[in-house]
Amino acid sequence: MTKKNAISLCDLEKDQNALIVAIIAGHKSAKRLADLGLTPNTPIKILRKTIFCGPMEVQVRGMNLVLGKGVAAKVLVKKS
Amino acid sequence: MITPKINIALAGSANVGKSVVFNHLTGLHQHIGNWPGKTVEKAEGTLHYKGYTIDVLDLPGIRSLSTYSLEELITREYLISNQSDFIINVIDSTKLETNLIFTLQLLELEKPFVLALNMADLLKKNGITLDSKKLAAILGVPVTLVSAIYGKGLAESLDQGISSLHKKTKPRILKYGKEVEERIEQLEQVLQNIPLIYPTRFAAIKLLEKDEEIEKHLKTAHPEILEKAKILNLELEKIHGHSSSVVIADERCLLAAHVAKQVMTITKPQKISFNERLDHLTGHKILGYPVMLAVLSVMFITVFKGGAYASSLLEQLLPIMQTTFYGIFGNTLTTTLIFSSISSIFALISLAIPYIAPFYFLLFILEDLGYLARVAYLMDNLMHKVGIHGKACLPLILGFGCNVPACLSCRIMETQRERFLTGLLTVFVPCSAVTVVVAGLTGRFLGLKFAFGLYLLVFLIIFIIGKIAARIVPGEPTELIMEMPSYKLPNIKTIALHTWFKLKEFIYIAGPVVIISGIIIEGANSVGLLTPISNFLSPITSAWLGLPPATGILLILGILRKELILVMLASILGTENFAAVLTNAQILVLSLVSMLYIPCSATIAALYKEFGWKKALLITVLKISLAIIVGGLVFRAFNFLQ
Repeated sequence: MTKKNAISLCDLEKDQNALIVAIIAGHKSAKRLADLGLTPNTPIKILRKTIFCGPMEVQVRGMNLVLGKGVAAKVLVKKS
Repeated sequence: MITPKINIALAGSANVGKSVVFNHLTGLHQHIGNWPGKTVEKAEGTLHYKGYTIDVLDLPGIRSLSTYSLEELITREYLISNQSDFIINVIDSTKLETNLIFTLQLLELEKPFVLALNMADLLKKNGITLDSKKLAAILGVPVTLVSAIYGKGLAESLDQGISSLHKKTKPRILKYGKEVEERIEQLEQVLQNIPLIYPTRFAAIKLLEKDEEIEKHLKTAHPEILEKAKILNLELEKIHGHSSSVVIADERCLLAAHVAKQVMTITKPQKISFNERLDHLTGHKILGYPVMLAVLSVMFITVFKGGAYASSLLEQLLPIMQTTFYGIFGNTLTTTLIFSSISSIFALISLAIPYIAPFYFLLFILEDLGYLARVAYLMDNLMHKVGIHGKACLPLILGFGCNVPACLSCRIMETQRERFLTGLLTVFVPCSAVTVVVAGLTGRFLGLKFAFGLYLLVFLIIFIIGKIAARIVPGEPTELIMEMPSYKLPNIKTIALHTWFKLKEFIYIAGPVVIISGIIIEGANSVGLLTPISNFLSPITSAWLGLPPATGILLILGILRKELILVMLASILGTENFAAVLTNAQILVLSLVSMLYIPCSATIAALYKEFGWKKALLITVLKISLAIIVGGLVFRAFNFLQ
């Protein structure tokens, strides 16, 4: 999968589904997210967002996670 | 007779009911302290079971055995140190797949453990069937079904663990994909004869994950292994197109999914749950906020109204005690000092029981319910403006009750930087004692409008300090990454135990300091030192802040307990009608200074405990200087506008 057509997780709307393409972050953040199950090719769903694209709640591998704005921006996804 | 002793450790992520298991096993026989030299909580307890004395250690709730956080590092080092005879890995059985990711890492550590599938009572409701026997066969460890809130399955978990002690069976090794396994094997070969505290395979895997701890171990003695690992990592990165540490994590996820698929069937499609429906409201991007305000207001009003009533009942006891005490022992310097420590203890109790205990209790209910995580979610944006993330809400909310537990709760933040920033802001939050002073001075004589104005001013100051501190304090800001727990019915027993232990911690930390500083101040008062000190301070108190010189005494007493400022003001001025002796500006400035200046002695002790004396001193000096600067400015501004 290429990173070309990928968008940031922040650009998704509530209830949209997507596939993680890559995580563009430093070693530590990327590892932390990967440990939680956010790895490339994993389906992700936006459950809800706060206003001003603040933190969002997502569902990954059956788990509900809250991601802050800064982290969410680093997760590249492809709409599915 | 000496009973055989067993050490066990509970390991698992947060929100899996690990503390419920712990409380069920140990009840009141527990001890909560810190890991030596670390600000990470360590909970230990004892139980007697079938002729064994079992020491239980509740490890921090973590999701992975990397070294991202202090908690992860501590857990890993503890598990590897062989101090526990077996581990009970508690997981949420309704979220088997994601929970297994941690379990797989435990397998890699090659320590004996029992896998306790908690929340088994919820499986049926969620339409999930689990084959625990098959899971046990796949993993090679005993697997038990547990419902910790009903105490079910815990005895079986202990039995399984105890019987595994004699069998000496090792957990099974689960294999990853071919290209990863090949590289693990190559690393295992070079690691074979090197003394390591970790199992060879674990070390090999961690090298592929670019684990800093293992790299540090090998750096000086075996740089060639690190070179080898680097080459292998690059190969993996070439094949997969992303970092080898992510490759391994991904492999683990795949393996967990594969295992889960074999043992789990979901029999009915999940319909929109009650949880989802509740979250439509509580997590709503607009409606969520009024709901949050309402929930927190109800909590605060309950605590303050109930607390005021209960402490007024308690306060009636003090004069009776005082007359009886002096009646029996006479009035000398020694008895005055002794009575000062009695009244310090009494004051502590009349703060702890009416305010702090109910506050903790209600807060833990909200936490157990899962609501505090929603608050963190909603507040994350705002918290980021002051350089911290949403989780910092909890200490800040606690601060309104009492700054001491608030400081201690900064431990929930992930890094030292976040902890310090949160602690710094927390001590500026007006606690219940300060609220009493502001209400009794500004609220009563100038009106609520001014009292609210003071609060707004303090919030503004907190905001500005946060902004500045986030820039000055070195280090990267941490982003909010948190699991959103499902709503669940709070477990009252766990909450009651939790409240009790927190209350004990509060008394232990605050008690000695409050008693000693009480004796010092009372002693200084008895030998007539307070007035000279107060006169010495008068260039600040009278000339700059515009207050009567006697307030110097008040501010010294206030170090002990903030509400003393109000109590002693009445006795110094000889009237409760402060408006007759103080100008409006003086009332306002005295309230403001009480809100801002020095943290009380117990809070300083808590700051010292959490952050060391340098930072405690820094915060104290900062608060005093701010109180002087802002107080003086407000005094002039108020007089100018009048």
